Amino acid sequence: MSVENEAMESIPHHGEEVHTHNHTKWYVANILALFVLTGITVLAAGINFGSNTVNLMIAMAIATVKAGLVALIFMHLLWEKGMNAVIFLSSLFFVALFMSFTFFDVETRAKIEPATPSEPGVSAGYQPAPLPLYVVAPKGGAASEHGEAAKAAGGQAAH
Amino acid sequence: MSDIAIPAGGQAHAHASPHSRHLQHHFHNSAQQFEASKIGMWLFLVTEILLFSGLFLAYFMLQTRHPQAFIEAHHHLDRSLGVLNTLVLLVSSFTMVMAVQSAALNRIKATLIYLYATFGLGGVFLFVKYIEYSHKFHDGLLLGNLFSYKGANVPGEYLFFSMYFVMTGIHGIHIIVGMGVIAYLIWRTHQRVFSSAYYTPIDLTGLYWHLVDLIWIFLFPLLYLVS
Amino acid sequence: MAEVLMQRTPAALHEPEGNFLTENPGLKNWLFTVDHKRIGLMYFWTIMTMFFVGGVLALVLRTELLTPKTTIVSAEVYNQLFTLHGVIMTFLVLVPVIPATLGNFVLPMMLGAKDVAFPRLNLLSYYLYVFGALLAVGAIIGGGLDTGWTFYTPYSSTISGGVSIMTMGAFVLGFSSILTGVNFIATIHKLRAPGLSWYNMPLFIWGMYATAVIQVLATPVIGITMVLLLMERLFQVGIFDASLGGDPVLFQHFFWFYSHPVVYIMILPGMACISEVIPTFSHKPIFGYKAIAWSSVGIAVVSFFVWGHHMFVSGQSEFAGAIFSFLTFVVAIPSGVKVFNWLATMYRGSISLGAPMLYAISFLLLFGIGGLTGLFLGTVAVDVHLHDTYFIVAHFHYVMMGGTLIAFFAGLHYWWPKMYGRMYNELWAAIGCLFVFLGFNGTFIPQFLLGSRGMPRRYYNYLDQFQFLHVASTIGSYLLGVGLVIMAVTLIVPLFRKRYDAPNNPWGAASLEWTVSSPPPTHNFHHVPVVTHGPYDFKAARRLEQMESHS
Ligand code: HEM
Ligand SMILES: [Cu+2]
Repeated sequence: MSVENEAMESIPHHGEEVHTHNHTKWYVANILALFVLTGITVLAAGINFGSNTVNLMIAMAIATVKAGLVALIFMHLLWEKGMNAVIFLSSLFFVALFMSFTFFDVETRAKIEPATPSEPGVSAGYQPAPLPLYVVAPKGGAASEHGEAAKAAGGQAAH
Repeated sequence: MSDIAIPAGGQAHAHASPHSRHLQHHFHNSAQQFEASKIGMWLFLVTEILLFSGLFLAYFMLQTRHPQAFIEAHHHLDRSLGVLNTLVLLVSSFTMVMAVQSAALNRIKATLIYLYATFGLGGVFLFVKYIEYSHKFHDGLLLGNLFSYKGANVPGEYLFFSMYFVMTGIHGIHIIVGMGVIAYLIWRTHQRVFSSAYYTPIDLTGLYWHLVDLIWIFLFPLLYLVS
Repeated sequence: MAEVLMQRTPAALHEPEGNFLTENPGLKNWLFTVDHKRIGLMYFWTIMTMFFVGGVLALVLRTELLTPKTTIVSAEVYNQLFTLHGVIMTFLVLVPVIPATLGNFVLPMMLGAKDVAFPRLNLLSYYLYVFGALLAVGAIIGGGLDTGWTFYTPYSSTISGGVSIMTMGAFVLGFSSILTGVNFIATIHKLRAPGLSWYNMPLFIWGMYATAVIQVLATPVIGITMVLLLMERLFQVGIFDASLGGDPVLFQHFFWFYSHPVVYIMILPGMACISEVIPTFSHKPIFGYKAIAWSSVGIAVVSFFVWGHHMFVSGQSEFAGAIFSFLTFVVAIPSGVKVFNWLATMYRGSISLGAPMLYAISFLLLFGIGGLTGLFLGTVAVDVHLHDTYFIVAHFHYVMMGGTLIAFFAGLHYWWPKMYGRMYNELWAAIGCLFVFLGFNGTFIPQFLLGSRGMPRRYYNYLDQFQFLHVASTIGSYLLGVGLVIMAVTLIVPLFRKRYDAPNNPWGAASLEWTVSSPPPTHNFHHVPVVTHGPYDFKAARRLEQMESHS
């Protein structure tokens, strides 16, 4: 008997209606909520919450709420089979992983050795070189020694 | 007893017969086929999300390194056009989801109208982007070594425009592709291909279109509202 | 329910209708086929062609290294050759070799399905592969490219030559790989035969599933990396260039976020083959089914946490280095779980040493060495010395060739009778395996020694004191080449026989693909099979087979 039950598992059958409900009300409410949240995003951008990072975080948080609404209602995750939601959420997990681990590196780079240039014999650690950024210099040429220094700093942590 | 009964007919969409003409031979019924396509589409969306994640990571990276340049540079963008395009895309998502629902309820005429609306809103989005782009081209506010704007007062502003053009460019390509697919759907709907028994392509295109919208939801504050 | 048997077709010899090889003949029917078996075979021959090219290049490289300085090619040509070799072997051979060939061929049959979920996407995947391969190889041959397969910036973003075309090639190849992954996941979820619950699936399927997860999650990142590299080259957008305000180490993060997981795209399918061969040839149900199944998924997930171990000395922060080092040790655990379960399966089994099993045992030895040396390299303090030496070269050849390819050969010998309906000569297969095993170790053991003594990788010149080991390695590689030729001839010769002499189930295996004729009929199953026993329940499978032949 159990065989038959399992047979049902992978092949959908009678009565498994996917969605023939009318969701218009949900959709209208959702689009209105998204409008309001867009307004909030713009307003929030006018306020300084402390630091660049915090401002960015808040903007991203609001965007995430909006994205969540789109995914849940327009993309039907609210009513869908669990599997599709799992697929979707897993992608977010790996995106978070990608970003956070890269930032582990970027944010902690060369901060291990504090810069103490006054002490003789101790390296100055990593000093972000003032980059000649507004000139897009041809490679190798006029990039100047600043460019070289920056390259070295990017390529090899100072010891 | 060698002939095994297949669990009987699929009823995913209203009353598709298990051997409707859209059923491919290796599926047992249309419900199974529909669910498989759905999983496939979600997996494809996952790849899109990870693709864009690289762009976002690059953006965050450059933005944390050159915060001042990004703030300066973003003032060159027209915030109201950004808001306008955000609203346009949100509404297009709404019309798209209505198109899907109409198809599911077998209201083919409504489906057609909503598909046209979605296509049109995509066009509006691109038109607004065209206005913005031509402005930037005119001022030389361009990516990488094309950046020729003379009035920049913080070094590194071109990095912002590198990200701006790469991100909105790739997003714009997705809009264009989406519009192409929607045009195809419109054509097929005119041919009466879709009904509540079979509308998988509309449903899947809807998912794609929402994802493109969803990505814009993140792009908008990052590019237009840097603070 | 007892009479519900697996559907069996009469032996191939008495088969009234054609099989997938002979039905619908003609080039056009092959090129536009959507049959997973034919696509699998087209993939197989294409990939083997690439493998042949990559292999010849390897022999040229080894020959060049017979003496210090120029032996047969110049330094510049050498750099291009190792790049071409690396690109072909990683992107064109190792990534697709098992999923696209054996996977395509047997996965639907193992599931009791008539095809993969999206047959047309499957064909598209094949043509994308061909197109991407042409771009990639054309870029190197036409434009020249000597960045190595890793394309590190700022070198790759500043030199002229074929890099741009190559980035497009890698992008297209990624797409092809993604399509295979999407297809497999959807197929496994939705096309399992009645009775085939998750824990009733052969472990091969679990391995393919885990692989597909990585393909879907990691491959897009190499896609965007290539796009950004292209932008960097076209417009100097500055993202990966420190002199323009960007960060070259960021490129390495992007690259390895894909390319570490990709080594598990390579090895997981290999492990998947081994999980089929070992129980069948030990005539004993697999030990620790669930542990092996879940360790595949575990590897797939954890493989995303360790990419920084390629960047210990690239300027990554010490903090990140420490974290990545720790996590690298964690990823070895699920691999260890598998190895011990395979050994436990063999323990007290009645092992028959057919060619697939010989390759499987070789795999255990070689992958063991490769994995353990990976742990050396995962230790930061050791890696600082070994990074970019021949030790790395030996490590990844032990896992990629000794692991993935040897496992592929195991799988190939295992399913070959199913694919072409003909048996090969066991003795010659064993001789081929012996040569491959000895030649392989002869090539790469010296490289461990060279590396630990400081011989850097990707150099065409070296100090005189290294010559002995280099010569030893080159001789080993010739032996390896001979072994591969023996293997190829052994497998190809039977194909010229007209008669199908392979029984449906030559090894006494218990999964569904062995219940159909060899070669299988076009639509695999005449009736939907119902699974009533586990994939390693050899006794039940034999009982069913006997009942079948009596009726
Ligand atoms: C137990 C598992 C493994 C561990 C702990 C491990 C560890 C490492 C480490 C730390 C490195 C970096 C060495 C360096 O560049 O300094 C490395 C390189 C490499 N590994 Fe592994 N590895 C493992 C398994 C594998 C597998 C299964 C494969 C492929 C099938 C593989 C392929 C490679 C490749 C291709 C490289 C060199 C990449 C390059 O720089 O060109 N590894 N491994
Ligand atoms: Cu690695």
